[in-house]
Amino acid sequence: MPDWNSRLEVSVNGTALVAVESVTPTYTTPVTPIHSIEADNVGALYHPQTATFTMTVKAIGGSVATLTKLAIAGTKFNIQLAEKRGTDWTFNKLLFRDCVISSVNPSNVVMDGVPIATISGMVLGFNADTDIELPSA
Amino acid sequence: MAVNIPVLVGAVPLLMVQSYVVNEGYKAASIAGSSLMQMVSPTTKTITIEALLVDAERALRPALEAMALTSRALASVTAPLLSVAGIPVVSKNFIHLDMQVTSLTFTQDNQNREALKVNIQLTNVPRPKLGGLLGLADVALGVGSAFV
Repeated sequence: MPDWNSRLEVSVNGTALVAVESVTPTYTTPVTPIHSIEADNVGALYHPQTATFTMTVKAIGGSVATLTKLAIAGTKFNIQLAEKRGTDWTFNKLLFRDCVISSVNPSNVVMDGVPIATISGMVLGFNADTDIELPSA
Repeated sequence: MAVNIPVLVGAVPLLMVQSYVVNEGYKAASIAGSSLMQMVSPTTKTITIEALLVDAERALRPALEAMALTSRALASVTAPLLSVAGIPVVSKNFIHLDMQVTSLTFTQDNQNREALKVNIQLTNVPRPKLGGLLGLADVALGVGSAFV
């Protein structure tokens, strides 16, 4: 039974993010079936693929400020998910190039606890061979 | 599951036909100053086919273009053959002889990858010598194979 004894690290443009709570990348690969006038499911039609991400980060340290600035400036940046410690993850590294933030909620101020920032956006570069790095067996 | 019977436009099999529309009828003209109608003649039969050419099927495009006489060079090669008989269009429910491609539209768009959408419009062009006879043959074939 494999154990999970690893830690992942999220970095933006090579700098590790501080106090990341969660990162959810999603690849959307839409395909619709083709039906002819005589039969069902005779083929598949591929549509443009997209990738998006959502992350929640505690608003402490400089990470949220950096990301907010990137969002407002509309700057493209890279996000990398990689193993910091351990080798349990199915990937070695996931690289999302040319990310653009479409919405950022920099801090919801609450009575107790640390303010949380929610950032979501799209990834323009994700389908190169080197973007998904598998463990070298 | 149903067998995917292709629609044959001439010798080109279209496997991913999205719609097949046949338009036919009889022309009637109203007579001036009268409540009567004059039945004039059958309207020109047209067929509109919407199909997808996916992946390797895109190689069928030149074959369709050859039938549609899209260039003078093609016309000189293909037209003599078409003067003898038009393009037969055969599907599971219809058989139409002596058709001629009057419009051919290929669409490549950013939503459908590796695919061409093709719209083919065909018009019935009866051959002068055999016109009447083939018209009947068309009907006979159609009746004989209404629900293959």
